[in-house]
Amino acid sequence: MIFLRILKKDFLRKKGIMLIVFSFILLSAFLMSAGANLIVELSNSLNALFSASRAPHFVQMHAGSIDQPTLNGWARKNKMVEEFQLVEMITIDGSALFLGDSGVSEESSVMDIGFVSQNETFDYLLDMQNRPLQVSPGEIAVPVYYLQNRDLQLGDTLRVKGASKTTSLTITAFLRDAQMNPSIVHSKRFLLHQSDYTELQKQFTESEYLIEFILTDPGRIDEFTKAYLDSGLPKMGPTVDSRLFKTLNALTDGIVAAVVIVLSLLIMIIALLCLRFTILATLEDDYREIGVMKAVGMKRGDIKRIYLFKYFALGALAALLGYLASLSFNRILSEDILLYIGSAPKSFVQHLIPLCAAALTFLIVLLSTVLILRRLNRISAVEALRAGAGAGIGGKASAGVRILPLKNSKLFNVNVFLGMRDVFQRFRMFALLGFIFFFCTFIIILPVHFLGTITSPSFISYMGIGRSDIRVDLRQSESVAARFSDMLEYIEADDDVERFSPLITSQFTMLSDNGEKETIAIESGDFTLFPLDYVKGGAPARENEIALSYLKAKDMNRKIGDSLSLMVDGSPREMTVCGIYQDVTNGGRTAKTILPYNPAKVLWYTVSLDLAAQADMQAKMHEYSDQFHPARITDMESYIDQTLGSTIDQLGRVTLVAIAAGLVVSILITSLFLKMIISKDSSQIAIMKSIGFSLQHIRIQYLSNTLVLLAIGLLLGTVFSNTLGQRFVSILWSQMGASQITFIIDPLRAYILMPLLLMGTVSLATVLSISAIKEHSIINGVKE
Amino acid sequence: MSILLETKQLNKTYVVGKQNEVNVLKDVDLKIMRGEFVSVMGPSGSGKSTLLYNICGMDKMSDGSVLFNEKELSRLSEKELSALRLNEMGFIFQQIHLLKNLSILDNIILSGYLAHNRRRGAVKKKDVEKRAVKLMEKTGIAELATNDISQASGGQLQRVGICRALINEPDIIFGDEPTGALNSKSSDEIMELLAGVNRGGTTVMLVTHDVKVAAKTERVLFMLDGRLVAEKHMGKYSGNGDLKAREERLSSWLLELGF
Ligand SMILES: Nc1ncnc2c1ncn2[C@@H]1O[C@H](COP(=O)(O)OP(=O)(O)OP(=O)(O)O)[C@@H](O)[C@H]1O
Ligand SMILES: [Mg+2]
Repeated sequence: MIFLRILKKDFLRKKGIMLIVFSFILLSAFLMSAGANLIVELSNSLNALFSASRAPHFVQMHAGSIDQPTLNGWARKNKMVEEFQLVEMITIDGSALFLGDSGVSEESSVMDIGFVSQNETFDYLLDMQNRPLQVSPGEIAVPVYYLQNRDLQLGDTLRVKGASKTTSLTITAFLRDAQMNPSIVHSKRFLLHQSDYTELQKQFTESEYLIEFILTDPGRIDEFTKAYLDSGLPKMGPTVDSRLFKTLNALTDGIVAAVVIVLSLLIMIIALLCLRFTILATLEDDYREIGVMKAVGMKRGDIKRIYLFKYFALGALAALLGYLASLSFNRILSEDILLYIGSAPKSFVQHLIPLCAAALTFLIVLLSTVLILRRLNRISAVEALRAGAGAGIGGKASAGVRILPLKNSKLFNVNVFLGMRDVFQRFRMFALLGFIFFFCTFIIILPVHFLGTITSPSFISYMGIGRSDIRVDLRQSESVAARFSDMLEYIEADDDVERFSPLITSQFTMLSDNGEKETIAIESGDFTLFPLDYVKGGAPARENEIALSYLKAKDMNRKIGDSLSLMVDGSPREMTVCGIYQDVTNGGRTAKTILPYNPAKVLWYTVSLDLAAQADMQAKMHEYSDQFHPARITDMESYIDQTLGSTIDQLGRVTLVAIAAGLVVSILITSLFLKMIISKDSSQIAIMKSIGFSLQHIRIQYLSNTLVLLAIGLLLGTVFSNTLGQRFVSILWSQMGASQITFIIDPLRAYILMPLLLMGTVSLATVLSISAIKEHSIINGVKE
Repeated sequence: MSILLETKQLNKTYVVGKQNEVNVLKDVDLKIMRGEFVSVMGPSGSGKSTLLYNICGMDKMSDGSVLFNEKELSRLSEKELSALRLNEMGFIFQQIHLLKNLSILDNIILSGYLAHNRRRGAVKKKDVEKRAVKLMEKTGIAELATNDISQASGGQLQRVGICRALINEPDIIFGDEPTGALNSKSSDEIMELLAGVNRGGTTVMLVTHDVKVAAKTERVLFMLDGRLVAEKHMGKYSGNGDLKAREERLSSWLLELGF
């Protein structure tokens, strides 16, 4: 039967490329369902974590004294409040805390450490099974962040050095904290037994309060936030809500899920290109046969069905295997979720989603096949039968002979010239390889750029902080104002300091558009010394100017030049928005002015400073942390590292996988493509060899072919990464509060190392594939 | 006159299938002098083409030796053999075998650009082009220079083949039935050209089935079943009318051999 004969012949003849197409569809389906699963897992687990811990909808942090009866009364009267609780937290300075036997304190950590006892009705701290955790006297439960970052084990000891004595506690559990799990949140809660808590309270007098609410309607968080902030209740500290907890919890794994899905889309495009190439090559080979089939009266639909059937089978099998493979891989990918958020049983529908994602891959493959096969319509019986072996669907082989006559070549590299000329002459065919190189470049360069950006010291400007050598943070506590001015005096007198800039964040009241009062945290100081990158506009220069963070501006619907009214010293004052900057800290909603700060409502103090060239950074940091105790001293690099460390690690892994994938794809497709083209060109190669071209000469021709294409691919891929790729990363990133990201490019890695790597693998693949041109092929090609 | 090419006990065996060996050339001893015009005749399958491809290094001999310009072919590397074909040999084929992506002129000058000219040292593009134009004028295809190879007749294309073979001024031109696919008028014209080339001092060796073609050569070799079984010296063909007589002499010789 002619159907089956064609099918069989086709499979045998194109074993290699069939296998490649198959594995690409498989890989794409695999990544697609793995990515889908990651998203399902993430949202499912997150919901489970939030309901198990009964996370509050609204939390006001407060460092200062508190009047509980007033709070109780307000909460009882407010109809939006379902439950209210006041949590006291002993704040422990990092230098007093020792984890494990290392003997190194947590002094250099960016985390604010708080000791708490278990809450009674909501906001539970959970164990690894997501059950409310209970610890016995002498025991302590440590946040999972430390499990991952400090290599701790159950049974290790934790020591807290108090004023009079050191308390040793045994770590008996790791805890999940819906509010403060992720590393990007710079507060961590440790859980103690009530008796130890009371004991420690005697030695550590500083404490902070979490004023927590569960609302009757979580949809009214904004309304409630306004009501609370306008109420005159305690608010010396950040205000956060459950939406922010969720975003922050989802961030790291969300980025990975997005990258995985994008990767799968790219691989799908490669699969489709290969598919198109295979189908067209098959049609070309079968050109005469199709003509015969038509001539003997077979209908177009019948012929199409043969091909469709083949790719239907191929696609279905690959997508199914991809899905099955993803099942076993899911654990590795969601490792972090499982650790930080915990797993939750999935519903039937949730199990189905990854399968649907794989099915989508299959459908896309099928649809493309149908589209490509429309070419069959163009083959007429007469034409196909009359055409010689040279003619085909892609047009005459000799098209464009006249372009680039040989005269234009330089003598020493006739072969290079021939190779490049070939690319232009048979561009339609070579375009596939160019496309593949383009994608490989894109797959490799984009994560390299992103990783380079996120690890670069200048990345700090996306976090709402100007770039400086050292940053000193002083939180609200007793006599903090006096300590701050002592500190400034000391720094001013220090010869090792080149320049410094004190910044004070305090709360102001703002009149919103409808005349209501709203509280806003504003950083005051001189912003010219350690400048930020502004998305639009620039730093405030006059007293009536204010810069807003991207999210804040979006919330308030303000653009550059718009005005807003701020209460300063008891009277309203019109401020003009002068700049918008990106901020991923403190929930991303902040502002900056050069107005004097509001001394009654200071939240925290910071000093940014640059050291003079001769100063020793490490020594200086030690000096300051001794001198300014309990202020926190951080250098920029470790600030980023501690905040984004786990994101960077994950992204690093993704980048490695992407580089490997790009290289493997380039090798595979180059080899296959060359194999195909060499068999197509065998007679031309034989002619060249017969008239005196050596293998080396011919190798140079094909090497120029692939390298020219690679150069085009590299160029386009890089341009594409730097423009659209950057846009794409920006969109991901904007979820965190930065509206746009400009890649900070490491030219050595991105523009020299990676291209060289690709060039190496492509050249190797080319040379190896060409070695298939054996000596005896001259005779076979030349002799009739 | 000196020897250009000499084979001693040249053997070629093909392995067919798993174990079967076919001995296609059997102990061939052959001498070709500089400036000779030689043709090889014989029944189909007797090994004529195989002989040609073995003495030019395109195929690997199984046993024996081939000396060309004092070089033993079996000792040369792939690269050296390529260089030898490029610089010291020219080829014309029945199917002509031009590169289809190049224009007619480019097909001719390509080998010229690639070569290291023995006689003039480094190649100059201008020189190659000048030679190509001269050759094309001589063979009457000058006006086709920029054409595609699909825009020329068979006879014209074979002239292109001859120009290509001559571009590096080789010592010898090999032809495997170069006139086999041409009509008799074109065939005559091509033979006139080759005779002219030979008069210019280039050695020519052709495989042919055509008595009219062989009659214009100086010496005719006869192959049978892989062996050189006979040869006939015809003397130089000067092109003045004695062609009929030469053809008759050759035919009766072939008849004696049972061909
Ligand atoms: N690659 C090969 N493998 C096996 N046998 C071969 C191969 N090439 C040629 N032969 C055999 O070698 C013998 C000589 O072939 P060759 O082409 O030299 O003959 P020929 O004299 O040129 O014939 P013709 O006049 O038909 O061109 C033939 O019997 C052929 O079948
Ligand atoms: Mg032959």
